[in-house]
Amino acid sequence: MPVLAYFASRPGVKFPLLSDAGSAIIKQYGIFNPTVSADNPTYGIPFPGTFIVDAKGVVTSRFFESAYQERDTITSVLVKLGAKLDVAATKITAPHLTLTTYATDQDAAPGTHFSVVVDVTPGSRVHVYAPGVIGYKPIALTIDPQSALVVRDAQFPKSEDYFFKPLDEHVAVYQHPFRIVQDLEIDPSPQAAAALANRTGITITGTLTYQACDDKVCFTPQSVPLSWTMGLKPLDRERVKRP
Amino acid sequence: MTSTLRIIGMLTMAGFVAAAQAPDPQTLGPKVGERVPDFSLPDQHGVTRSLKSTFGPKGAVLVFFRSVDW
Repeated sequence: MPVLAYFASRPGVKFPLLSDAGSAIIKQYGIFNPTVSADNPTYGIPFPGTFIVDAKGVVTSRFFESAYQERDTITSVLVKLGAKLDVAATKITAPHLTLTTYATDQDAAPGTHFSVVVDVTPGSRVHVYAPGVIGYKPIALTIDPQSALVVRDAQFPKSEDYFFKPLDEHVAVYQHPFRIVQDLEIDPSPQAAAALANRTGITITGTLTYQACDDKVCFTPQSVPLSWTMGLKPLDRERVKRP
Repeated sequence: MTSTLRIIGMLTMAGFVAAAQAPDPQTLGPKVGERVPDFSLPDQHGVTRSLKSTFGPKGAVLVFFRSVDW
């Protein structure tokens, strides 16, 4: 308890911190990490993760990781649930689309799972093609590789069915505002630590490619460069004071 | 040469066993749509908290992490 109290005195901790001595509740939740041997000081840890539960205690979404070094930021969880974040965003007027793009976090440390987001609003009567569509150029977000940046999964929403009468074909499209969430991570490995030494920021670059069509014509495929700049933080290695 | 090969073989096997024992955390614990277990645990102020006591009007975000001490 003194350890929790000390930790909770740090800025930003305004929520209840609970102590599960002996890991009884962790085991009851079924998320005990059995790969840590009993003689290891970290024995008893859970797999790190988040449950979002409603007022009846029913899970509405969950986000889990296999390694204790890795964790989702709460903003990267919220954007996947459709939340509008109060963060600095860049608005881009691209051919046939309006883009609002931002990173979920201002800073990241090794192991931080964050996201870059592209909120896309198609122009009037315009649609773009969903991932997996054959015969048209589906919308895609490509992140340029760089050292210490791990490019994880991208989430695209469920597409709509578009019936194109002249060709009597059904295609998966987006024609209403939609969100692309690209998950990224600062590599927590010791090898990456060398690449991150003395760096205070990171600029992530990428490209959004798509082909827009309306109900009559398809326009030239487009390629829009995007970039996001974030601060890099070292891991918080301050140990709690022992009573 | 032979002993070098043997050691590599053992390490590989040990690695394989460890990987086989590590469950995928995505498959563990209450799933979407299931109710989470109640609890009775002390918070940082020494107050005993139940699951319900942590709820706001819409529920709660339950974060499990390693420890604040290590």
